[in-house]
Amino acid sequence: MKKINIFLLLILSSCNIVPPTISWEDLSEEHDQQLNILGVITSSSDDDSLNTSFVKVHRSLQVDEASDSLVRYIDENGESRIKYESSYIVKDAEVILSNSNRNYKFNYYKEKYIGSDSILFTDSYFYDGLDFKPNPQEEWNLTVSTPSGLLASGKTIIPINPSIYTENLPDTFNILDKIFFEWLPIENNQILNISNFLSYTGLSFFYGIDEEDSCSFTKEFIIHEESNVEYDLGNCKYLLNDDWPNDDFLMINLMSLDSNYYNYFINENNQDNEFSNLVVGAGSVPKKYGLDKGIGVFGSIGFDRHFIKIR
Amino acid sequence: MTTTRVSISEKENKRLDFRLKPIILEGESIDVFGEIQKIRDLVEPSRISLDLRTLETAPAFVESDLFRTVQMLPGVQTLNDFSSALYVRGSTPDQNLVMMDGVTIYNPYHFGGIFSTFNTDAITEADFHAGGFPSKYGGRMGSIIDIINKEGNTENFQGVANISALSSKVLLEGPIPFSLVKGSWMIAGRRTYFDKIVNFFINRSEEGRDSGFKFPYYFYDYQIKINIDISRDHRFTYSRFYGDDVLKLSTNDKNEYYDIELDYYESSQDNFSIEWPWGNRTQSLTWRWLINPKLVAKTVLANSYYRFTFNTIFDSFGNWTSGQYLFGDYKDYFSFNFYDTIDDNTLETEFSWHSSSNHKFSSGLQIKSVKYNLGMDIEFSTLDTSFFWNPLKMKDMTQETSFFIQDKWNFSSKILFQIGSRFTHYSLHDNIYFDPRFGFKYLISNNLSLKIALGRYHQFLTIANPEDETFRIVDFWLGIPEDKNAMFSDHIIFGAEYLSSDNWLFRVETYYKHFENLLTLQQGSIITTNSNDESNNQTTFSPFNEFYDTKGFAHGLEFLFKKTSGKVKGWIGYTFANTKRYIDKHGWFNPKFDRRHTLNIVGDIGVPVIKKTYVSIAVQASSGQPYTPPLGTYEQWQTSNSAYYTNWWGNQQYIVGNKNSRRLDSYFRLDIGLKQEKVIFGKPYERFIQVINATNHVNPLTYQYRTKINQLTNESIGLERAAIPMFPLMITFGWRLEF
Repeated sequence: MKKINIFLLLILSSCNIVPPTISWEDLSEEHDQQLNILGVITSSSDDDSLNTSFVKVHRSLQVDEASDSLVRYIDENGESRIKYESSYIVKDAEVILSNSNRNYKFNYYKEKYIGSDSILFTDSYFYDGLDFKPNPQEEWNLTVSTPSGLLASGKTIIPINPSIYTENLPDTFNILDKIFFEWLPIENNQILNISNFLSYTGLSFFYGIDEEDSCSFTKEFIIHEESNVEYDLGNCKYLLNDDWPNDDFLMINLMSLDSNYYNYFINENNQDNEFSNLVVGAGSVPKKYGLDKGIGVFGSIGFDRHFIKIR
Repeated sequence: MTTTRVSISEKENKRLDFRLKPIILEGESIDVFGEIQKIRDLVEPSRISLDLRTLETAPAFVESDLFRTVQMLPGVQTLNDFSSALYVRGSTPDQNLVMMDGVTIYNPYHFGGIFSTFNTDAITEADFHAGGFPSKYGGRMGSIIDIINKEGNTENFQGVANISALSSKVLLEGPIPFSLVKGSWMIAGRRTYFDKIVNFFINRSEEGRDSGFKFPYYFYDYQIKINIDISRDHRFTYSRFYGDDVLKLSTNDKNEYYDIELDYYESSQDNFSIEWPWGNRTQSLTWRWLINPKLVAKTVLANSYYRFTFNTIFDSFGNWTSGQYLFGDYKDYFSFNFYDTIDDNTLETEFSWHSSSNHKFSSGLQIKSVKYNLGMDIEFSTLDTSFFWNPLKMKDMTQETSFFIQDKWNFSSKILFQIGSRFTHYSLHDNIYFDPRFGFKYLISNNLSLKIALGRYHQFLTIANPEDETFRIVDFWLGIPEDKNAMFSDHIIFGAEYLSSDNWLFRVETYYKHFENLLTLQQGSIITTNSNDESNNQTTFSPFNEFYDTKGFAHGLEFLFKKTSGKVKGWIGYTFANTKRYIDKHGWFNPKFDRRHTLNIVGDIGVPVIKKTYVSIAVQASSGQPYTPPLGTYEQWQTSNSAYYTNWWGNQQYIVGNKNSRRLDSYFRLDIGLKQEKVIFGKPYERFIQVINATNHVNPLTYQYRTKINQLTNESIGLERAAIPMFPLMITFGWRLEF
């Protein structure tokens, strides 16, 4: 070794940092407000919450606009109280649904219990009469306008009513058995939901991690072209044993969806967020399906539901 | 001096080996500048060579870094201060081919991208091609960084060691000992020891010892190179690189309770650990065969292995006893393992043939076999139950077989052509991809030339990282899937180059790049629950195989004024650039790394009044980067279906503007270094001070947001935002001793 150069770098104070001053500023942006619509109509007429046609009318807000505001109201005892109200909800819109024959005016309800099963709908528009009966494959139009000049409009084509072939269904369902469902194949996408009634009232189910030990009674199948499915609780059905309560029902609900509803809620459900912030939330360009003006969805659905006693 | 008479007849090839004898001359300092010949010979534009002298021109953040220097060249854009990744003329870092001694390096970064993985002490030279590169290079469509490590001193053993607060570096080199064979060797290594220093001080304090905390991170790397001349015509070179970043964190918490009256004993322990190593390991064996003085063959057998493994374990157990009776016990074990490995084996042979003074042919064959393994394991167990879940498993093996041919043709003393083609077969596709390359150079005078380059560049792998992520610690590499077309880019470059008599290089270039078949990860589909029959409600991770088909273009104009020798060294670079991407969902948009104007001034100059004192500066100024602004809020409709009832509700979301339609504030950074050479006890030493971001300019990394609340009514009344700054003002000073 003729020459060894050793460089010794001694940094006595290796790094001194002077932090910059951070200043917060109010964010203000120009945004043209839009009506945000959830319009769902069904073609069935049973007295069932699943068969409810309704429209929710909201609006978008400026980024510097309060999303909730404090309002004063008089309660049923005549006392003055305050509460927060969402600024998104539009209560004074004119909502008209129409087919080729006539118009149906929907009215705003703060709260309304629907169907024999009394499901609560809030801040929605409903038709008050009994003569609103959309038929499969009819085209329906929606027009929404507000006194402030906001407009939304769109159309949907009612899907074909789904139909489970009941002749092959057993009268009772044994949790140890498989059950085979068949339905009328239609061109619309469908969702098949299966669950036991008591799971909604307390008697739950066992969730496994994978198929091998999954015992859930709650199953959802997205159906594109299929016309049947075999339903089985899997190996862990043996965990449920024969002591299952005898007042429980297996509920089978087949729902047909028009393309607007399918695209908004199923196909585009996992969309990218273009804006994401851990503190304030996320955002993206709003979706719109079935609407020419406004954002949201105007779609239609149909149902066929059956109950089978569990033994 | 030795004189040997050599006779040579017409058209005879004769090889003569000379070894120059070093003699110490005293006189004024001179700069040996080998770049002139390169600039005159090279046909391809957009190429620049960087040696250690150039790398040390700019003030360094902690230590000089190859990628940080390249970032200040025209055509290269940066994502932020924390990243040394290179965005070259509209290309992303995965489109850069980074090679060390001919071996591909897949993740050339340390410390989450703050430093590049290369030890500058070991580098002889790095060639950077910003575009229009010749057919010798393939498989990437952006740029090339070809790094050649030191060969090792064939005459003497010598070494260099650097010790700093961040790391220690050692480089040793010398001839093959005992004259066994003719050749040389070089070994270089470094390791950060911030962890050791912090842990030393923690252990000195009682509180620190009790806390159990240990600084969790370090990185190290080493390089070995051995050259052996078997004979005059055959040389074998073994080159190895091994580097790792290691993040290790563990805690444990043990609790015991004993009730002496009841003879009741309770014990529990919770352990938590994260172990996250990632890095590259490469090795290559090169055989250079001088078949005759006009024909050289080079064969390389190389392996490049990149891996990261993120493993976290939570382990909890305990029991309760009374006397000798065990009342109960428990044991919970959870582990999450996320890994990605690439195993690249390459065999290539290249022939170079100087058929005449006007033609230089080169041709080669490359077989590159790459194994990808990206996966995720989750394990959970208790005393009586256990499950193992493998929600992500993407294994693939691809092979690229390429052949290239190229001729550099000196058509006349003023006109030069470089014409080449590259053919590649990719094992997952049926077709053979053809990449034509064309270069033209017109020498207006001895110092002034015009250059044109055209070419197509295919790429067969990509990274599956979200395009909008601010920090990227590791890359997730994937081969182009069977059902996706190979990505490609077309380059068109026009340039002019002038080299003045006092070694100023003036270069102006304009380029257009067109991109097709790019893949952009769908960032929103990380976890999905498939509800169809087959998956039976199985939750699956699909974070790395759902892509938007993307196309794009980039064009720009670049100026470079560079002085490599003399009392003033450095360069001024200006870039005008416009990069666009197209995805059906968004239309055309500027990607996050796009900056319209970039100005870099890097200089090193002796202070005239004070002897042996030097000032170095680096000024970086550029347009702000694009971002997507929130414009308003709305409620996105959600639904849950069940057989009992269907429920609909709205979730508040922000309405955003067009993708990347706004720009952050402009970027400005001034770094200053001051260095003085002195002598102490007869030994030279340096003292220096370096100021990073001397003006303490707030360069926004991104914006942070918070909801503005009316304190009186508790109503939320909009948003406030503030910039998250990048590097603040930092001052580093120290001494450097040589003995």
